[in-house]
Amino acid sequence: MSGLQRGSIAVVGAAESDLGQVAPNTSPVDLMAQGTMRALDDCGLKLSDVDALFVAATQVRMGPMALAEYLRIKPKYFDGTQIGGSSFMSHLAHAHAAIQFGLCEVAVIAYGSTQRSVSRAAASPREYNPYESPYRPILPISAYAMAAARHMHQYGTTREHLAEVAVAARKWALLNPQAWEKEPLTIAQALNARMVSYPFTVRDCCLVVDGGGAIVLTSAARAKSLRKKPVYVLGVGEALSHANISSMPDFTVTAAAESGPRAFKMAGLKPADVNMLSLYDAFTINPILFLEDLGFCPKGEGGRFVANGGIAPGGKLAVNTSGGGLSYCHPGMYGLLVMIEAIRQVRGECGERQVKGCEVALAHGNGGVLSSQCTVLFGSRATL
Amino acid sequence: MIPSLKDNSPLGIYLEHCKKGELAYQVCTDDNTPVFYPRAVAPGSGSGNLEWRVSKGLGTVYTTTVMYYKGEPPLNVAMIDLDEGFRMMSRVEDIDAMQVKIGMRVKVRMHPGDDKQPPYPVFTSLSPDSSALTGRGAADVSLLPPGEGSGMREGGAK
Repeated sequence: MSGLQRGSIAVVGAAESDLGQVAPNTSPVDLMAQGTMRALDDCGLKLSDVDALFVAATQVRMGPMALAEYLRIKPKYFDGTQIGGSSFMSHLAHAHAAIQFGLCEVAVIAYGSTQRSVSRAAASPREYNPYESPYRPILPISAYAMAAARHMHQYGTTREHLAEVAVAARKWALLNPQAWEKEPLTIAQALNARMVSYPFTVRDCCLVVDGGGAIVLTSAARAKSLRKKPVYVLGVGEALSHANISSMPDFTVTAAAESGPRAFKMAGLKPADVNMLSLYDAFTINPILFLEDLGFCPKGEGGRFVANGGIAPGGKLAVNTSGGGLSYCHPGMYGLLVMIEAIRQVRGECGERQVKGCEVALAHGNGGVLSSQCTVLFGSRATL
Repeated sequence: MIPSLKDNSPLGIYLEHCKKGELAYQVCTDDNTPVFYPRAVAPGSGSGNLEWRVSKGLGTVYTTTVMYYKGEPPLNVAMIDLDEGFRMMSRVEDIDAMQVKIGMRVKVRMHPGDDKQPPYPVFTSLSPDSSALTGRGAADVSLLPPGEGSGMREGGAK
């Protein structure tokens, strides 16, 4: 048997850390540790069961070491892959391999950020790039804004389409008690908000809040005996296309067009089999690009797909039911929370915003400036 | 042969050209592929057969944005496709930032830089009447609220 086997590992624990605004002097590792223990409590495993750690953070250079020290555990397998917001999907893919091939048994993927408390500039300092920095792009915003501008030019996508994404996220957020945003948002309010980097207003940009969390993974065999219904990993796919926006080959096509098919192939599924999507919405153009690149609508049709409440509650496809990075939580790198929502939907734990009969959920991570793309397909026991 | 980095660096040579008012790029002589940003070896093949060239400096705006920094006039950033077949980040000067349009023809000019910043290439519009170039992404300037800041939401960070 070569490669990763669908359903051979499962997510057994999932938890957010405290989100939004945490107390002064809270550290990112405090949040990771809090998330880890909540996720272990979620499934009934103990800290001493954990033999693998996967950590990435913007404020902690050597994540696995920092969390292992804090928790005083000695993992025999660890991975600190840092590819921005999608790092955690990448960690999950690597944990899949490690568990399936017997290198470890219980893996924790953890994240924490205090970017709201310490400021974004302090939490995520940017590297100097001699070919970009002289032009003072507001990164990452201006990179995504230029992708949006090109999509608008090439496919007739409009600012109203972008606003639809923000409004849909807000409507979902109002159904999620954990969401940061509590007030309704209209298309007009989104369009008329303060312009940051054209065509983006502040409402096209994700939140800047504190937060984090953790998930716990183990083999499908061990998962059966734990507290919660296992959520099986059916497919994973990873892809990189560039690091700096100047080197993005086509600003209207992301490497989700590669990671998606890889995940679907492993899972033996197609887009029509997916009941719910959790897409990394750092900016309003993201879900539009990912719906196209992951095969949920033809290239160029993403704007029209989200129009008229297409991805809002009651729309044609349930996307970002948590409220997303736009209205729920975006603590610097958002990929772990993207997966937690998909996991909870498959478990059926989402209360008012629960998607009925959610057996297959897709979680898609994005990192850098549309640079890294990682797709995960989660499924219930019925999908095995 | 893989070139040495003991005496010259790709960025060092690029900046020397900038000081002379030249926009330099590389061509991989194995297959005539243009290369930008400058590198020690060619992307894709890893070939060391890279030759420096000076661009004619003519290009087309591939995409564009306008940034609203607090207390400053709107500032353009654009991606420029040079006629020689490479793309770079830059900005288009001398016209209103919102009038920089995708598809607009532009020509390079060297910004002198300052004490901290070496000279760097910027562009000017070659379109006599930029209003003729209304792409579908064209902006309605009157809709824009006064620019008042940067950074992402709520964080207060610049």
